[in-house]
Amino acid sequence: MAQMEKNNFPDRGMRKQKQKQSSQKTSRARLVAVTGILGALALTLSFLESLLPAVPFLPPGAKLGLANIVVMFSALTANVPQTLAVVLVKSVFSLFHSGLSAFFISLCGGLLSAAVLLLCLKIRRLPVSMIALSVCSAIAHNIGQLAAASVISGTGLWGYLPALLVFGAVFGVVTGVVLKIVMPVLLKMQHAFYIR
Amino acid sequence: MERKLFSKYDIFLFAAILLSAGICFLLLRASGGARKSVEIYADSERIYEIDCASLSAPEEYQVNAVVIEVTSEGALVKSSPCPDQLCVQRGRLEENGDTAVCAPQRVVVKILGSEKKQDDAIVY
Repeated sequence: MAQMEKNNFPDRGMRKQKQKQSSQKTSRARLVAVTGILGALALTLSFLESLLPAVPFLPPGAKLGLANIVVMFSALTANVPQTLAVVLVKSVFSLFHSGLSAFFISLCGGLLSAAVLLLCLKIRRLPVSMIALSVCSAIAHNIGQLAAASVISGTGLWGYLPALLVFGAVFGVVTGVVLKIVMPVLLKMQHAFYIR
Repeated sequence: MERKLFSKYDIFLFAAILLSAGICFLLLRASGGARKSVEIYADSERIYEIDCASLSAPEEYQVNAVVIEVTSEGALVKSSPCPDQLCVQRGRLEENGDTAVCAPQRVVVKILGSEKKQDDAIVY
């Protein structure tokens, strides 16, 4: 973790310089820089989450999904490639951290949740609330992970589905509320993000 | 753009989620035969299928360095060399559909079927 961040710093400094050179709002350097920051934020949150102690009545392995807040934020403020890049950064980190099968599971969950998220945002006729958005993406993340795990293990693991649906809904509400609280603060830095 | 925290349509979403979770749960419990058996998968292949009723004493199986204890009641992952130990924390598997997965070791333990308990007596 620490090593990865160290590697990121000189890179990020360069990006910031480039940002100053072109003050255009749509500059590529700005896109890359914001994506890098969002990716680093997602990694930091998922690391912090792993420090939380296990809660007794929860099934083992159930996680809050704080990194999903970042994915949702980028889906709301950034464009589609940027959101996918954040998902990819998250998965590549799990490749280094816990191996190939974890990478595959994380990638499938992340991509499915991003797809559902972006689809929900496309439908403008239906005003999707923050909680609905976050619950849908959390459940899509769980289902994607379950599907990937089923493919890897060679057997259907649908025994986990009921618990994943319920906990996806509960934790989705939590992350949705957090994003709603955090959003106005972040939006004050509008110069850094494109608001859709 | 201002996005509401909660809209009235969300109630339908939560109802749908709870309903589908309930249906999944019931389908899972109802599926499978009347004999309880334990299946052990490793590297995407079924290695063991053990009939629980045929066991009088607990048996231990070792698959990809994962130690699994099978009893007439169900199964239990005793130890695993993986870092996260989620499969061990899963505890006893007893009900139909209960599953323990160890993704790093590529091992899956599953319970299939349930012993239909006969009523001892019915009192009106």
